[in-house]
Amino acid sequence: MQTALLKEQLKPEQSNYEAKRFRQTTAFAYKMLLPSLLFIVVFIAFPMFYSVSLAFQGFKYGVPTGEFVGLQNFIDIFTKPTVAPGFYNSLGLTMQFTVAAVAAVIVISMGVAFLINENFKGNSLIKVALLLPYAIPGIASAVTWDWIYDANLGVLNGLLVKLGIIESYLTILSNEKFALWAIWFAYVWKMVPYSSFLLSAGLSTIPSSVYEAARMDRSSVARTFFKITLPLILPVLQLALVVQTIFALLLHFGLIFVMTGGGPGDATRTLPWLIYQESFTFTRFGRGSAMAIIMSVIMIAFIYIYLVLLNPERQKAQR
Amino acid sequence: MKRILIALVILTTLILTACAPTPAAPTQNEGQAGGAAPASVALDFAGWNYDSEKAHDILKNYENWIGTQYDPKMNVSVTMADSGYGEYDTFITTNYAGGGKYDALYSSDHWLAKWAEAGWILPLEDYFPKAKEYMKDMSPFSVNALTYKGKVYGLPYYSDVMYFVYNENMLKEAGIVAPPTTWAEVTEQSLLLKEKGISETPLLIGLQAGSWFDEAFFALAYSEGGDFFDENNNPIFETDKGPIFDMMEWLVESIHETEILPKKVMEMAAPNVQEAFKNGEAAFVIVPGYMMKEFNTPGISKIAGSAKISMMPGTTHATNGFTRLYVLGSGALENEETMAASLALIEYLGGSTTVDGTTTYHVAKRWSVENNLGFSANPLWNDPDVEKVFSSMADPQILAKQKALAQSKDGMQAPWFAEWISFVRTEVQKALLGESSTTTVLESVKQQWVELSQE
Repeated sequence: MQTALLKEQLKPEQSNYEAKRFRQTTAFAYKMLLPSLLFIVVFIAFPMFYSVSLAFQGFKYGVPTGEFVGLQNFIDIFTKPTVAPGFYNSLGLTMQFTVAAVAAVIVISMGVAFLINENFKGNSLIKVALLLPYAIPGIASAVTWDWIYDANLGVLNGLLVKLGIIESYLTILSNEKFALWAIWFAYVWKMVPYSSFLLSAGLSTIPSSVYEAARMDRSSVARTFFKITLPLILPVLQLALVVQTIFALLLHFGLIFVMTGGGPGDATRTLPWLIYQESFTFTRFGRGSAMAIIMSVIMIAFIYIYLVLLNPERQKAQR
Repeated sequence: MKRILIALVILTTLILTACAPTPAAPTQNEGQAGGAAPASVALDFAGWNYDSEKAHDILKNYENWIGTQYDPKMNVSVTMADSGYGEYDTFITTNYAGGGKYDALYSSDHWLAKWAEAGWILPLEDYFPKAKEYMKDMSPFSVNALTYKGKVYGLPYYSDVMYFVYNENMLKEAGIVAPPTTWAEVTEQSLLLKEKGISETPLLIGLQAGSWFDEAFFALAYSEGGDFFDENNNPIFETDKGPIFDMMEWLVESIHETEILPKKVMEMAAPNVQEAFKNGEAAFVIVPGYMMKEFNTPGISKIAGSAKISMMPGTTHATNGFTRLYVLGSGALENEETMAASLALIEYLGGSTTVDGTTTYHVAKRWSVENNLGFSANPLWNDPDVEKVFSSMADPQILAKQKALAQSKDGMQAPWFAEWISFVRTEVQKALLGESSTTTVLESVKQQWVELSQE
């Protein structure tokens, strides 16, 4: 289309030269893109297709049977008596964890974003301190939390006893009611900084004149937040929600690996752990891949909901 | 141009997917390659990182021994890849699934069937007939652990037994004259220890979902005469009565009613139990024998000198014995030299070899003398150095008596055992948490076994 317009506007010799130049530029651009494309093919597209291909293969004791099993792995996941109950339990736990984690991270991050957006003495120090949980490697923070929750020596137990909230040390990670929420707390602690900075960046783009106008109109704090702040940071919020949902679905694996191993019982056996177990403990790579695909579909569904429901254009149309 | 590029991307991806290495079993023909002997052989070896420094030293000794005392024509170097014990099965699985291979590696009785079925390891006796002869020297439970489908797959790295260990000083303080001989007595004595304020958590058994759980669980079941499967691998345990049911009920009662066993045992493996016992937190523990050394070592144990072994309480006093082994990896099939060096390595590590003119189970002896690891080779009992170490560790008569009553884990000969036992850990924990009844759990694990066996 662009080339056609160009040709119409230019003289023949000029047109030939420009067209050649345009082709050269385009070819150069594609050459420059080639390394990135190769990277995507080798490290993203290929593993993805390979994983999908595994989901349709039969495996026995870690070895492919060479048989194309169609949707059998998916059918087993949803219907087989020895697989389905465990899968549904993991799915339920994953949903609980994800919804609670995303909600907590976003709400707390919003508050923190407001705080670090204010100009006050020590603001920079708070910003640096805030980054620490995110900067600590995942496994290191998981080990730290494991010690914090320890049933014999844990700081948390010590604190609760000293405050008189509990009489004796609790077994937090071997209690089926507490274990998942203990992991949730450690996860939220780690993820709040990232979203806080993201939302803070969004807040900083709102001109102060808008707030001054709101103050002059005697708009309440809540009204200002819902009618001004929220709509204006919606694109950033949307991004934060998408990223946090992906993180919440996947990144709690390290905490479970270190702290509970999916237990006690199956109290923390969320989908990532179940997929790991199916693939690498039971060497059922086909079923593990099928579960991973199901999880990806869930992730895409979440992202779609955010993108559609929180689409600024849609919001404008509704207003 | 754009379309060509997209087509290229798709084509490359599809080609890569089609050519991707699948975790396939090696074929027997792979090993037929022969030809001229190479100047040197590089072996890929894998193991878990228990006393890694010593393991590397042993491999270094092998490299020296093979060229100077075994076959001067052989020049072998060994590279060892390792991981933690807890992650070792995954470590090996991911390696083989990604197309990697090892020439020789550590394994454990509960992974043997799975690895053998996957073709990752080879039947040792097919390449090294002497392996079968070695079985005459081994403890019966180890022979069972080293064998799969009637073939010897490896030589022992170490084998041990789950022992019932008690803190003598604590018992004396409570006025208890003899350690318990039944589980009812364990409850009784534990309650007394709690009542007198001597121990808040008198009994500790590592029941965290992991391989230490299996050793403790089978030890408990065997102590009451529990049998899981018949010789054809059919489940024979009852779900509403019988020794396994009774044992599980006792565990549930110990956690929820008598509270002699804290709930935290579900986040404790044997090494955590070892730490707690060393710190004087418990009066009774079930642990592998090699932990006795640390219990009674002043400076690293607060209870040094008071840790004693007694027969496993219960009606039969039987226990579980487990064996870790050296196996032949499918990588050894690469060529004759690699195979020869791999077999020599396995024999050096797990068999009896002549080193500096002395013929014995050198490596097993070193692990036992220096680390107190148990061994499968019965001739080592006659070795004065070994005898000295073990008699200082516990009453040798009790050690021998308990070892004679050790059984390997029932069902290990089934290739689905590793998957089943993983399911058992989760289900039993549900019963221990009070989420499910013992009957429900036993029915569920029985059904799982049947389902897996039919796949």
